[in-house]
Amino acid sequence: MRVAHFLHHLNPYGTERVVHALLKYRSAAFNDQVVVSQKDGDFADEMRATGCEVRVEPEVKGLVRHLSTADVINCHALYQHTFDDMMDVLRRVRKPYLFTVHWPTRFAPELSPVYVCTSLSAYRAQDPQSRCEVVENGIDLEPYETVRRTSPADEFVITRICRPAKSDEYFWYAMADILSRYPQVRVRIVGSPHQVEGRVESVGVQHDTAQYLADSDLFVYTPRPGEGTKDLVIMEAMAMGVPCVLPDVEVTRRSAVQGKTALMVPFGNTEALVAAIATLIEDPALRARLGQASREHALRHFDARHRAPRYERVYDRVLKGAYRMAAPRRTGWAPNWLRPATTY
Amino acid sequence: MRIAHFIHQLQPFGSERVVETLLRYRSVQFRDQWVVARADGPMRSVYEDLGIRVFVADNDREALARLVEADVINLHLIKPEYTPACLARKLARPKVVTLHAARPFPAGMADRFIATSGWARKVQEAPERCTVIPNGVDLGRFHGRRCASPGRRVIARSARPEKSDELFWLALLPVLAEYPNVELRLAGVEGRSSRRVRVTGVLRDPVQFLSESDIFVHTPFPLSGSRDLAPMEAMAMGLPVVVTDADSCREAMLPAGAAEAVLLVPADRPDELCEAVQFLLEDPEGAARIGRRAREYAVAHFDARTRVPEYERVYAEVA
Repeated sequence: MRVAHFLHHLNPYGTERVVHALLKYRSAAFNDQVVVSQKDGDFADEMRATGCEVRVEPEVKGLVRHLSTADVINCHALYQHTFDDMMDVLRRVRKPYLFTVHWPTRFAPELSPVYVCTSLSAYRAQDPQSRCEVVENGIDLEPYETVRRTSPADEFVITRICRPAKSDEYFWYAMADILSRYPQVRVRIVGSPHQVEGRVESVGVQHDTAQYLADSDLFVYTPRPGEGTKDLVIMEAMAMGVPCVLPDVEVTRRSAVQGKTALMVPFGNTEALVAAIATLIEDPALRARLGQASREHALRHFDARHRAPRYERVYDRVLKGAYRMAAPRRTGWAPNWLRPATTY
Repeated sequence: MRIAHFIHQLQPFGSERVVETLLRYRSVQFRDQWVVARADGPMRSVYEDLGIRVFVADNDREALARLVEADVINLHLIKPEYTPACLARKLARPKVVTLHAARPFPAGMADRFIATSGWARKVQEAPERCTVIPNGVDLGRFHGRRCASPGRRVIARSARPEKSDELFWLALLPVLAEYPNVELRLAGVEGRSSRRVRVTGVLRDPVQFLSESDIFVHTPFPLSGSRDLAPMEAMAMGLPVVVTDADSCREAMLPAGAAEAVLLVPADRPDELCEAVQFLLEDPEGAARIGRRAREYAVAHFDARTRVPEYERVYAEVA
C-alpha cells in the first residue's frame, strides 16, 4: 500500500516531526510512503533520510499528480485555511483520504471520513466526535539516549524551544526578574527567527534540539490555554530528563504531572512563574528528582513507535471503506471575505 | 453632509484613534457624523464627548439601518473579511473604505479607498482608486511635556504583544539585567507585572504613560499594520525613539532617521537594537537631543489635523 502524507510545508515544526516519526517507524506493509508538500523547508532532508520520497510542488497540478500515485492520503492540517487549500486539491485527486488534526480547530465533519486527532484537545474541538480516532502525539526517543551535556557546569541554562507565537509574553517578564536575581543564569531561545549571543542567546530555528536540551538545567515554556495540541517539545525535554516549569493548561497537563515531573503554575501568573523557577534554581536535589521522574515517565508513555501501527490501522480501514462520509452541509460555500465578521 | 463611520469595535487601538481625530477636527460642513460599531468599548465615551452619536449594533441588519441614513459611509477596515456580508453587498450609499492595514481589498468593495500609508495603497488591486492620506498624530493632545521620574529610567513600549516582534525581548532583557535602575513599562498588554516589567493594560489615553517615560522602543512584525501611530506619538511627546525598520514604520521613520530624529535599526538585529537602547541610557544628553528633534520633526510632519480636510475632500467627491 502506498501512503501519501500531504503537508503545507517542510519546516522542522511539530507536525512535520510527527510525520517524520511515522515514516521512520513504518511497518513493512506500509513501506511505500511519500511526502507531498506545497512548500519546501529545512526538514526535507531528514524526511528523505527515512528512505521515503519527498516531493515539493507549489502548483496544484503537480500536487494532484503526486498524490494520485497513492492508495491513501493522510492530510496534515492545523488551521481552516490549510484545510481549505488541501480540500481543493483532494477534490481533483479522487483517492481515499483522511485528515490528521494537529491543532484544536474544528473541521467540517462531512469533509473527511475520519479525523485522526493528535491530542484530546484536538478531539474535543471536533463535533461530532464519533468521526474521530485519537492517536496522541509521541516522540522519537532515540535521539535522547546518547546525547550528553557539553555546556559548563557552573552556568545555569534555562531553555525555551518553540515558535515565538506559541509562548505567551509573560515568559519574558519572569525572565527579566530571574536574570536580575541570578547572575549565573543564561536564557537560551530555540525556534526564534532571530540570532543573538550573550546571556540571552537565541540560536534560531534548529532541527536537532536534543543537544540544546542536554545542555539545559531547566525548560520553561508558556503556551496559552486553548492553543496547541500535544506539544512534542515538552515530551522531548522530559525524555532528556530536564525539569520543566509550565503553566497549568490543557496541552501541558497531558504530558507533565504537577510536582512529580514538573512545577506547574497558573497561566499568566508572573509571580508564580518566577517563584517556581527560583525554587528550582536554588534546589538541585528537587531538579534531579523531577528530571529523573520526567525521563522515566517519557520512556513509559511517549514512545512514537507505538503510534505508527495505530495510524496504519486507520489507513487500512479508510481503504476498506470502513469510515463512511457524513451527509453534506446545507449551507453553501462562500469566499472568506463574504463570511460574517466575527472578531478583530 | 452626513457621514457615518463603520468600525468593528470601540477599543482604543489605531483605527479607532484615527476615527477620533477625524471626528475631533471635523469642519462645520461635515458636523453631522456618527459611528456604528459591532462591539462596544472604551472609545464610545471618547466619541460621545465630542458630540458624536455612537450606535453599537447587535447584528448586521441593525448596523445597516444606521448606516443607510448617511450621505457617505466610511468603513474602517483591517481585513476585507471584517466587513459584515450584508454591508458589503447591500449598502446603497457612496462608500469609502479606509485601509488600516496593508492588505489587498477587492476593488468592488467601495467607491473609493483611503490608504493610511503608501504601502497600503501599493498592495491594492486598483491603486488608482486609492488616495493616500497617511496617519498622523493629534499634536494638541500629544503636547511634548514630560515628567520623568528621578533616579529611575523608564523604557516604554505601547503595542499589543501580538504586534511586537520577539526581537524586542532579545534586545531588552540584557539591558534590564545590566542596568538595575531601568524599568520596562508596557502599554497595550493585559497581564501581571514582574519586578522589572510593569504592565499597564490597554490605555485609553497614552499621553500620561509617555510623559513619564525616558525611552520608547517599537518593534513591529514585518508585513503587519500600515503606518503605526505609537512611534509617531512618542516622538510628538519628545521621547527618544528606537524603532526597527519594519514595513509599518519605514515610510514615516526612514526620513525621520535621516533627520536624526529617531534611531532606526535593522528589523533582524537584536544586538543593534540593544546597542541603540544602551547608547540612550549611557548618554542622557544625546537622548535629550534626539527627543527634541523628534518633537520638532513630529510637529513638522505628523500633524493629524492636516489629514481631516483631505478625508472630507474624498467624502465630497464620492457624494
